[in-house]
Amino acid sequence: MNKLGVYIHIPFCNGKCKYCDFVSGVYSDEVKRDYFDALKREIRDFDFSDYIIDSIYFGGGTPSSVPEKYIAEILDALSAEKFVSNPELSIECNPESLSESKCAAFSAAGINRLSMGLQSATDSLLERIGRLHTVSDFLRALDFAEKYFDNISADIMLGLPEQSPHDVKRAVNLLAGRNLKHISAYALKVEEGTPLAQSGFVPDEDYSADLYDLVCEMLADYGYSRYEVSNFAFPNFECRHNLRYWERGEYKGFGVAAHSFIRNYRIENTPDIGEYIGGRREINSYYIEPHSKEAANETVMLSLRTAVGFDLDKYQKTFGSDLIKEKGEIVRQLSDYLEIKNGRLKLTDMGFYVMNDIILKLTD
Amino acid sequence: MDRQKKIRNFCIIAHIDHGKSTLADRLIEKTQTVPSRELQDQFLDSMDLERERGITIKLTPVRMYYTKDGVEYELNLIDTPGHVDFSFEVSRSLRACEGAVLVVDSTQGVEAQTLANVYLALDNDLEILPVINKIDLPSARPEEARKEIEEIVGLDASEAPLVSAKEGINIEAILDQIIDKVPPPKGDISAPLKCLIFDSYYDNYKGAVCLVRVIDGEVNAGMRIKMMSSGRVYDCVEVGIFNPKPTPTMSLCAGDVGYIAASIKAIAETAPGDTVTNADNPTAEPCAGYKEVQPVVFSGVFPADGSRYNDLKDALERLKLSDAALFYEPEVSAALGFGFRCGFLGLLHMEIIQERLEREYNLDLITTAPGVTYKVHKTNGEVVTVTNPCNLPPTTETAYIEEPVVSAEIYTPPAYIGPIMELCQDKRGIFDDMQYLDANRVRLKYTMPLSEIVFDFFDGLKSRSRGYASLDYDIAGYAKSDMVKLDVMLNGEICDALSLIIHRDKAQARGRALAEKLKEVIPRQLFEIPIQAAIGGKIIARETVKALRKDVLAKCYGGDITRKKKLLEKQKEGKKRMRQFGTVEIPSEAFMSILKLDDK
Repeated sequence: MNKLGVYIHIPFCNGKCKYCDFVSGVYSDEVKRDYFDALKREIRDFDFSDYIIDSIYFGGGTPSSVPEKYIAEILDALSAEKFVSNPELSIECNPESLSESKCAAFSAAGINRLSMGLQSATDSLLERIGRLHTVSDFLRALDFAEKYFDNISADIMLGLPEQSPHDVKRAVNLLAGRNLKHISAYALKVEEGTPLAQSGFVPDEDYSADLYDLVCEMLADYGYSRYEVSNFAFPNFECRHNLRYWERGEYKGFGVAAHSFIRNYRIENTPDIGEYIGGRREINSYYIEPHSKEAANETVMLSLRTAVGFDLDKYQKTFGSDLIKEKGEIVRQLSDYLEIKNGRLKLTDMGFYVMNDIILKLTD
Repeated sequence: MDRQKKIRNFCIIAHIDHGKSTLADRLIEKTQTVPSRELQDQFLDSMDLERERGITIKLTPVRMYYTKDGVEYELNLIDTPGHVDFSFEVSRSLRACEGAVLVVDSTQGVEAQTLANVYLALDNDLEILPVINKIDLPSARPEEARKEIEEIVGLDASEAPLVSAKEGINIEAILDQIIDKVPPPKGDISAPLKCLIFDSYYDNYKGAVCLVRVIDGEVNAGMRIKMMSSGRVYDCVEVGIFNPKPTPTMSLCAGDVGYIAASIKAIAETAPGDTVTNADNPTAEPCAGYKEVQPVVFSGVFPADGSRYNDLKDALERLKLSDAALFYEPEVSAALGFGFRCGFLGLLHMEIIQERLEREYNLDLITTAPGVTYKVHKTNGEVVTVTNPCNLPPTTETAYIEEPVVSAEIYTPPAYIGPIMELCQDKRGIFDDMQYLDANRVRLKYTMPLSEIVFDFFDGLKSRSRGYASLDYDIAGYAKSDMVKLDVMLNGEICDALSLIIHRDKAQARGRALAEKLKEVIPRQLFEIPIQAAIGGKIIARETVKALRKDVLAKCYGGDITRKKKLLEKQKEGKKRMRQFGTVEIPSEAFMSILKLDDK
C-alpha cells in the first residue's frame, strides 16, 4: 500500500495579488458551487484502492475565501478512503478571509495545519502588491487561529518593491516570536503578464539573496532548520505534503491546473476553469519509466532542494548506476558545494545558491 | 579591317556608390549582350554578398559587341573592385586595358578612392574617359564636377558626356567615345604567347580558370602552356570569352580578353599577375609587375561549435580555391580549441570571408581581435615575424618591435579637419602634409600604424566627418614602436584567445575596457571569477563576476515540476554555446563582443 499526498486546488480569491500568475481569480458563487461539484466528481472517479492517504493540502488561490462547507464536503468525500493514523491536513488561508467561525469549521472538519500569508510586515508594502490585509489583520487572524491549531505556518516574501531589510526582520521576528511551527520564505518572482511585471519592476537578484541570507540567519537563531530551500520548521514540523514533491513520492492533484505524480505518470490538469467544470481534466500526461535516466535525473533535481539530499545506495539500487563512480571527479571538484553525509549526497549552504548548475553537472 | 583594330579593352573607375555597377549594367543592356529578361541589377556583381553590400569584390569581364559607322567592335569590359582592400586587384585589371571610363558622381564630385585609381590608370598609360553621372538628380552639379575633374585630376573634361546610368541617359555617347578614344590593343599576334592573368576563379568541372588578357601571340585548346612564375606546365583544355557567360572559342589572340581552362587543381596555381606562355615556344619576358598577394590583417577563426572544426577546414579550403588572397594555417587555442589563423587583405576582406563562411557554409564562428604582422627583433639578433599575439617572444628576449605603417591619404571637406586630425593623432598618426585641393576639399597625409587603421579607424573617420571623409592607404613599411602584449586573465589564467598586441600608451585604456566588457558578457557562475587585464606580469585592470546566488530564489510550487525541468533544459542548451576555459564558462558571444570596443 503506497502513501499518497492529495492536493486540492481552490482557484478562488477575494482579489488578485499583483505578482500572482497562478490559476486563480475572483468568481461568482455559481462558479464556486459548480467547481466544487466538479471537484467532487473528480475525487469520486479516482481509484484510491492502492493508496493510503498521508496528507491533504488545500492550496490556491485562497481556500479560506470560499464558504467553509465546501472544504468540509471535500474532506467528507475523501473520508471513505484509507488514511494513515496521523494524516497532515493543511489549508492555505489569507487573513482577510479567515474568521474564527471558519477556523472552528476547518478544525471540526479535520484540518490540523494552517498556512497563512503574511508576506510583509509593512502595510504600505502589502497594499502595493495588492494584498487585501494589513499586518494587524494578520495578527488578529493568528490570534484566533492559534485557538484551534497548533501547527501553523506563515509565508513571507523577499525582494518586494522597496522592501527594506527592516521589513524582513520585522516579519521574521513577528512570526518566529509567536513560535509558529513552520515558516516559508519565497523570493518574489516577476511573472510575465502580471501587473507587477507591467509596472516595470525588476527585482535585484543580489538584494533578494541578501534578504534570503538574513532570513536564514535569523530563523536559525530562533531554532528553525531549513529543510528545503524556501522552507523552515521546528523539528518534526516539516510539511510532509511539501516534502513528498521533493522525494518523488506519489501525489494526486484534484482541480483546475492541478499536477499529479501517480503510478509513474506526471499529469497536468486543464488550467481552464470553464473546461474543468465542463468535465475536462488531464491535458497532459507522460510516463516515466521508474528505473530510467529521466527518473534518476528527477531524483537529483528534486531531492537536492532538501537539506537531506538523497540516499546514494538507494539511487544505485533503483537506477543501476553508481553516481559517485560516474561523477566522482565532479563531486570532488564541487566539494565546496556538495557533501556526502550518512550515505546521502546533499548540497552545502553554498551549494544552494548554485543548485541548478550543480544539478546540470550531476545529470545527463 | 584587321580584327585587332576593332577590339577595345576598358574598365570603369568609380568611387563606391558613384554608379559603376549600374553603368556596367546599362552598357550590357545597350549592346544587347544579355537578353533584357535575364538582366538583373548589377549583373557583374556575381556574389549575393556583392549585390547586397553594393560593392564589387570579384572581377567579371564581359565581351560586348557594338556597331559604329557600320563597323562591329568588340568591347571588353573588365570590372574593378571599388574598395581599398582590393586596390591590388584594381592595378591588375588596369593592366589588361587600354582605356578607363572614369565615372564621377555629379552630386558629389571627385572622391579620394577615385583619384587613387585614376593615378594607377595613368601609371598604366590608360586613356581615361571622364563621364559625369547622375545628372538626373536635382542636386546634380555637372559643371562643377567637370571643373573638379580638370582641376583635381588634371584631365580634359570638356568632352565628358553627361549621363544618367540609372535612367539610361546618353549611354551611346560613352560607347562612341570608347571606340573613338581608347586605342586598340597593340600586341603582336605572331610573337610567342604572352598572357597576363588578371584574375582567376574556381569551377567545379574545369578547375581553376584563368582570366587573361592576351598581350602577344595566340592561345588555343591543346597548347601546352606554362605559368612563368612557377614554371608549371599544363595542357590547355579550353579557351573562351565571356558573353557574358563563359563561351568557348577557337582561340584567343593578342588583344583579346577571355579565359583559359587547363585542368588546374587549385586557384593558388593561377596567381593573378602571373604570365601564361607557350611551354614549347616561351616568350622572353614575363609581364611586369607580378607580386605575391600579402595578407596584412590576421585573425583567429574558430568554429563556435568545436566539433565543426573539419567543416571549417573544408570551407576554408574551398574558399581558398577561389580567393588566392585568403591565407590560413591551423591554430590551437586553450580557450577556443582547434581553429585557424587567417590572413586577409584588409578588414573588409576579413568581414567578407567571415560572412561567406557563415552564410555559404552555415558555420557559426568565433573570431579573435584582428591584428597585423609585427617584426620582433630579438636580443640575439634574430628577427621573427609575429601575427599571433601568443607567439610574441618574451620581453626579456626582445630588443625592439617594429609594426607596419601605412601612408594614409584622407580627403575631407575643410569643416572636419579638426576632428579628423584629432582622430589621427589619437590613432598615433604622424602628420605629413595638408593640402587644399579646392575651397571644399582638403587632402591630409598621415603616416599611421596599420594596426590602428585595422581597429575601427574607418568608422571613426566616417562618424567624425558625417560620412564625407574618405580614406586611401598604402603599406609604407615598418617602424619601430613600443608595442606590448595585453593579456586577459580569467580566474588567474591567461585566456590566449583574448590576448592582443597593442601600443603601450593604449594598453591601459583598452585593458580596462576589455575587463569591463567581459564582466558584462560573462554570466555569473558557481564561483567568483576575477577578470584581470595585464601587461607582462603587471595587472592594469580588474573586475569581478560575482558568484551566482539566484538559485535559492526559485520556487517550485504545487507539485508542478515541469517549469523547473524546462528551465534546466534551457540552461543546458545555453551551456552548449559556452566555451570551457579552466573552470570558467565563457559564452561564444563574449569573444565577439570585445571586438567592437569603444577606445575610451
